[in-house]
This record gives sequence, structure tokens and C-alpha cells, in this order.
Amino acid sequence: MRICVYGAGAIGGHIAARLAKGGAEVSVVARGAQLAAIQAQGLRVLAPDGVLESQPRASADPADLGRQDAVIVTVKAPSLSQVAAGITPLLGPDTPVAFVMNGIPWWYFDRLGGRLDGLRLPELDPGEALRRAVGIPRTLGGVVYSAATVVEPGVVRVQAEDGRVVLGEPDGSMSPRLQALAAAIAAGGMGGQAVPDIRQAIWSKLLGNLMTGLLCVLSRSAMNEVLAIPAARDAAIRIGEEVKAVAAAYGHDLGGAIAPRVERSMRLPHRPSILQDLELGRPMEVEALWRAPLRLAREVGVAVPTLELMVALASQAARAAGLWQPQEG
Amino acid sequence: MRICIYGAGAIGGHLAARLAKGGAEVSVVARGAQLEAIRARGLIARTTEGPIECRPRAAADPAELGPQDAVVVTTKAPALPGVAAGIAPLLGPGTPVAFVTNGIPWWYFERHGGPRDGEHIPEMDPGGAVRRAIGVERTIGGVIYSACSVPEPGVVEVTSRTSKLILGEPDGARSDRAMALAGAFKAGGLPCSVSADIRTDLWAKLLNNLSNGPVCLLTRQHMRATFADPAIRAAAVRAVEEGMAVAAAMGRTVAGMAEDRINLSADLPHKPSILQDLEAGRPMEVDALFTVPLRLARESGVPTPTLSLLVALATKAAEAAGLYRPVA
Repeated sequence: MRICVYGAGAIGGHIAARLAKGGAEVSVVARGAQLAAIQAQGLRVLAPDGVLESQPRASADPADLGRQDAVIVTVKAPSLSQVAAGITPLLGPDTPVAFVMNGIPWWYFDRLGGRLDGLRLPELDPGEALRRAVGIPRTLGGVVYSAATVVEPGVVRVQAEDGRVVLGEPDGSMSPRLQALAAAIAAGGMGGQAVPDIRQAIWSKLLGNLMTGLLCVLSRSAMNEVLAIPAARDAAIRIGEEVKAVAAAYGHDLGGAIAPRVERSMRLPHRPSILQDLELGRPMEVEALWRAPLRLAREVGVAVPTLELMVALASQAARAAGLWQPQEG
Repeated sequence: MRICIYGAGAIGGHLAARLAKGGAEVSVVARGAQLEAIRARGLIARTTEGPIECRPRAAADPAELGPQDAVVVTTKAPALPGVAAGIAPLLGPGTPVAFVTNGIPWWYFERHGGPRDGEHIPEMDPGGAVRRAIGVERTIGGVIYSACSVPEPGVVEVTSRTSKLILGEPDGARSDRAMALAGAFKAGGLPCSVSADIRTDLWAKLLNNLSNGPVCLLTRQHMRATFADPAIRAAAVRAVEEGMAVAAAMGRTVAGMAEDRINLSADLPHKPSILQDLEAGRPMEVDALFTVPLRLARESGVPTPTLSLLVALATKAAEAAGLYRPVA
């Protein structure tokens, strides 16, 4: 199976290595030092279950890689417009494209059914570039759980043993292409799972991101530092309850009480990736992670006062840092 | 009248120029480039009614300036221990010291009356150094309204059209020394009154700081950009209402609507001074503006849910920037 991973950072590198180990014919679209290192020495992934070495084809230009049986997009949301501009050479008539991303995806309302079916989210797909270049028929949704970092160009360290990728069709069907792609990932020793309700997994991960990410960005502190303050801990719980209520309005039960989840985060000296983006001056996923959930809350009339205030403040902070701009109009 | 301004930054520079214009014999305690510039070229305050040029005596060491008829302390709160260590040579037997500072001052409960009379505020005077070096007898409170900045050493830009200074004795007396000091400022064209209840004036100014300080620290944007978002604006109104409730519980009724206070600053492309401090890497007045008022709220049993959250996050950010450390 020919599979291209579009965006070979920490997550993309880990997935590419798993695909290669499982026997897929892997290529990657990468840039800069990461591209040069993979071309020169291949890709090394230092995982808890051993070192994965592979030699994927790598290029900055998808045209070098040709048509694929599947594409997995692992770039951050602000880079999606470049994916839209570059992806065409990878696509055969039936090539599926899995968007493995954080936050609300651009296709969220497509094939959702019900009153909101087909609603567009222009902030997540400016000018509908993805809709035109990729289109809903090819699109798969995806959520990844994997704590990974690029320790040097071409080398990815994976901290957690339980890394997994959850994939699903926008219409919830358990299609052969979906199961084939999940199996290709699972064959390399990473959890690869096809699910009938990918939006449930999206909300579940988003809940974790929103509970702590906003507070960490505003306080410029690690989770354990900011959550040591009672007022911040209370806010994390309120945000969690608000996100749960929005997810529930979309038919997703995000499970038990929020407070124990916050307490687990209190012990983690972890800086969420969006805080790392701020500190390193990288574009921040403000729309997908923060502002789209507010839009979704409005669509179903669920009040999210704490989330709304924290998103307003943190968006302005991202803007002040030059790492986010509101869309015109 | 010999008057020394201790801390010739933006506010101190403006006050020194006003005193000089009014005919006082002014000296300033300053540091670094500001000191060098004042020594070399004097001090210029560019006000909306024209520039004021003067040549105050300037020194880093107060011993060079000698005993004064009055001292006006205009440093930021984190610099007060340094003032306590250096001020002795400026003080004659009857020299009053006016503290023109933001937030809750170290002397707040002195001559306050009631059950809290004489209570110390350790966050504002760690180890009691200011109390020992200056003491309550000499102390006059002060509140300044004046938007100033230092665009280059030796130059103060006063952007507000109407500045004003309010002085007040801790016991509310309209003392001769307070009236004399107010007269020296008025002679230089700066409106200055002596208040019978300076603590109410302190709270009124503090409400401004509480309305825009925490949110602008979190957005890192000036007031106009920050308040353009309705959710932030609504939170700032709640923060002011909470601050007004704390002031009321402390026996100080600040007149006016919270919303009006926000509306006054909502269109200004101005960064609050505590955000300027953060961006310039200067120690931040977190305790005077935030920590102490919220402690007073807790002790008074006044809930401050919005302020507590905004302040908690802003304080943590100040710590992360290395510009604030909580008193252990």
C-alpha cells in the first residue's frame, strides 16, 4: 500500500515510521532541516518498544512522490492552505485523505446529518481551498494520541507507549478504505483504530486541549504550575463542564466527572503544544482549537461563558505575538 | 521650599518639572541614563500646554542632596525597600514624605481607626523597612492621574490633557504640611487637592488599575484592542464591580458605574503601566495592584470570582517572565 504522510514533524514522523515497519510503501512531504535529514540518513524513531529506522521517500514537492493509495495529513491547522495548494499530484481517482489533527476539523458538519448538515466553517478552510482540492468524498477524520517530539532533524522521540491513531469516515461508515488504513498503522505496532463516530474522538481530545491549554497559554506556565492555583483549577473544571455540554448537544457523551481529570493534569509538568508554539514563535492553531468550538457552541445555543472569555483573551495574546490573525470579513 | 522627588521616571519627572515651574527648589533621586541626562541637559516635560524645562539637582545618592522640606516618593512599589535604605539623608526632623504610588500602600491601616487600625501590610513593606526608615508620622498619601512616558532619557511626555494629584493625610487632617505641598504643585500648574479621605481616592484609582491591568496583561494589547472584544469588556466590568464591592466592604464608597469607568478607557490606544513594565522587563507592581486587594477581599468575605481568575493567570505570567515573586 502506497501511503504518503503529509507533514513529517513529530506526529507525522512517528506515523510514517509505524507504516514503514508494518510494510507499507511510505513517502513523506517534509521541509527544511527535517527533509534534508530524512533524505540523507532516513528517519529514526526512538520509541518505548525499540528504535524504528526507515528510509521513506521524502520531498518538499508532492509531485516528486506521485499518486498514492492513501494520504495522511499531519500538519498543524495553519499549514492546511499549503496542503490544499500542493496535494493534487498525490491523489488518484479514489485516494482517501485522512486529516489527523487537533481541534474541530474543516469538514465537521459534512455528512453530519440533521439540522446543521453541510454547515461551512470558513475560518478552518479559507476560500474553501481544501474542499476544492481534496473534497468530502476523499476525506477521513483522525485523532492521534502520541506524545512525541523532534529531538533533532530526522529523529523523533516517542514518550508514551500507548500511542494510537483513531480514524473515521465523516458519515460514520466502516468502509474498506478506512479499515485498510487503520490496519496499515496497526501493523507497525501503533494503535490504529477505525471507529464509527470519529467526532466523539475529536471532542474527547478537544476537551483535554481546552481544559488546560488556554490557561497554560494565558499564564505562560506548565499545567502543574497554573493548576496549583485554586482559581485556575476552578476555571479548568468550568471549561471542561462547558465543553462537555456542547459535545452533549452534538450527541457526544464525554464520560465522567471533570474534576478528577483536572486533578490528573495537576501533576503533569507539561507545556501544551499550543503554548510551545507561542514560545517558539510558530503559528498557533487558534481557529481549530479555540474559536471553532465557540462557533459550534453558538450553533446549538449552549452558553460557554468561561470558555468564551478565556478564548477571547488567549486569541488576543496570540494576535499580539503575531502568531494568529482573525480572518477578514 | 526644598522638595526632593525620589524616583525621577515618567511620573516623578512630570512632578519635578511642575514643582520647578512653581518656584520650588527641586532635586531628584534618579538612576542610570535618566540621571546622566538630567545632569547633562536638565529635565524636559512635554505637556499639552507646552514644554517645561528645568535643571533640578540630581543624584543617585540622596546624601548629595541633603535635608528637605518635603520628599515625594514616586518609585514603583517593588523599589520601596531601596527607598527605605537610602532616604535618611533627605529627612530633617519635620520632613514629610508623600507616597505617590499605585495600589494599596504600606501605610493603609495606619490611623485607619476601627478593628484593623495599625495592621501591617507585609507584602508592601517586607520586614518593615519603610516603617522604620520613614515612619507613619511623616507619611502623606498620594494618588496621581497623569499618563506619562519617558520617550528618551531626560524627557517626559505627558499625554493626558488634564493631570491631577490628590494628597491626603492618613488621619484625614487638612494639615499645613499637606496644604503647603499641594500649593507647590498648584503653583506649577498641576491641579492638586488635599483629600479628607485619601483611601477612597486610592480605591478609585485602583479600580482603574483592576479594570484594565489584568486583562491587558493577558492579551498583551493596549486597552482599545483588548476592550474591542465584548466578552473581555464584560469581564472587565465585572472586575470593577467586584473591586467596588471590596472597597465598600472596607468602608470606602467609590461613586459611579463600573461600566462608565470601562468606557472612559475603552478607546485609548494606551498600554497600562504594568503591561509596559512586563514588556520592558521591569519588576511588576503585582502585590500593590492585585495581591493585596484580593487578600483584603478574602478577609472581608467579598467574592471576586472574575478578578481572582484574571489576577491568578496574570500573576503567574508575571512570575513566568521573572518579574514578580510572591512574598513567602
